[in-house]
Amino acid sequence: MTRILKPVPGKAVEYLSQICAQYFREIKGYRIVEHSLGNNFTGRIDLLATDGSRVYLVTIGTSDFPHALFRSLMGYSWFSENREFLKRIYSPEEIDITKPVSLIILSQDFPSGSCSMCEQACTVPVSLYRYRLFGAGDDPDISIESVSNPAEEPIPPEEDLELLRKSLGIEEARLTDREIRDFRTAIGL
Amino acid sequence: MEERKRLGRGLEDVSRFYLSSRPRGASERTRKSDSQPVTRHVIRIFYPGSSLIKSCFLANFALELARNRFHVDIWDGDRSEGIRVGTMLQQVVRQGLYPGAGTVKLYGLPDILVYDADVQPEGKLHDLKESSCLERDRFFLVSTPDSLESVLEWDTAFDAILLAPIDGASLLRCYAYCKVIWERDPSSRVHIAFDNPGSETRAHEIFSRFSGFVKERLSRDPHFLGCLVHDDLLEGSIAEHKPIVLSYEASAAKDSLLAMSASFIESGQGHAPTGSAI
Repeated sequence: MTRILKPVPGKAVEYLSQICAQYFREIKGYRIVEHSLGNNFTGRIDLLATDGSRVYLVTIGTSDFPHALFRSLMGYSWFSENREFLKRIYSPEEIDITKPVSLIILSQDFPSGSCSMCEQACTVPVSLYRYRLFGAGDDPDISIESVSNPAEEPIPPEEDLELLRKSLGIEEARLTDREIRDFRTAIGL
Repeated sequence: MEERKRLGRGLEDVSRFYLSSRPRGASERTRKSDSQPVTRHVIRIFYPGSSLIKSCFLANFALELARNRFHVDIWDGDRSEGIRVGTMLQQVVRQGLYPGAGTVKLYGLPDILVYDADVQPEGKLHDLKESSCLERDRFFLVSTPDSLESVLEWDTAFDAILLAPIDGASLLRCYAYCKVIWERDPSSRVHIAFDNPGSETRAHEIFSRFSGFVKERLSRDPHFLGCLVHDDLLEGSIAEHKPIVLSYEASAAKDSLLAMSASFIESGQGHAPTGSAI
């Protein structure tokens, strides 16, 4: 999904992190727990985020994709080594560090086949997002879009049809899940 | 129009009912009692989610049936909050003319009797049966709380009018009502009307899909009654508690109500009444 975000005054690099955080917060519903965690020598995470079920380590590439990928892997390495430390820093209500980890890499460009290569080579899920800068260099508009394969997109949770029956007050009709789905398909709404 | 406006005060509203499009006795000439199918006389109106529009529809529908020389009784049994049928008719209903019921006098046409929720519908229906009131030309329009439990509670045969907006959830609920009504009594007839669908073409398209699915799954055919159009006059009539069919003003909402009533009568549900009943 492409979204042109409102222009943010200031230098592009400086504000890219804020814009990305806004994107993941508003579009993906993630909670951004920390900006810029770690260091450039042993590994850095640009954004530490969670949706309650997973921990997301976000790397914002400012040069080419190989560099961004390497930074992301270093960040993951740093996170793995410092997990026990991070557990003490953050409360479980804030972010549950023990949850499964996903890597998110943002870059301006990706070589073809990046998605499938990451899927084959990495032991944790990797999501790729392309960002683009428009307008003046010191006051850019930024767009972000997912470049992951559609098959890799998380499947939305299945609707609770029992809840739907209750909310509509139609339990007495004993409609099966299949019947409801077929009805929706037939009606097309 | 000018001539009508010269009518005396109070007559203006009801004079239209002198102009019934159905002549007295004309129906007798075309009526073939033996060949006519068995009809239901108890019509339950459902609109889960809007007792306001249901009451508005029912009040106008009753008046239109009466204008077509049918005898109509109303049971106003929906105690849920909001405007009830009695409220919608309060400007034309008179108390004390008939024991236990309000009366809408139409001067030359059958009166409409309005029973409120204090009268038990099953008892009333029993009374009507005993007194042979359930004739071919008499309808008992029932407004009850909209729930499937209330559908199942009744042991009296009835037909139903289901009102619904065009959205997935409402249509699914409509389907559920159809299923329960027909499981309860396969001989019931179900009329579907869409509330403010936006476009008549779209309404027909949706109904076509709806009825196709119903036919496939329930082996039954619902009848498409029409669409209730909303406009300023309808909103005004609800605000003033005055049925829109009594208005002389041109209105898409009024036309839609007239069309639905005509569709109901033409569907064979409302057999031509006898002139002698008036």
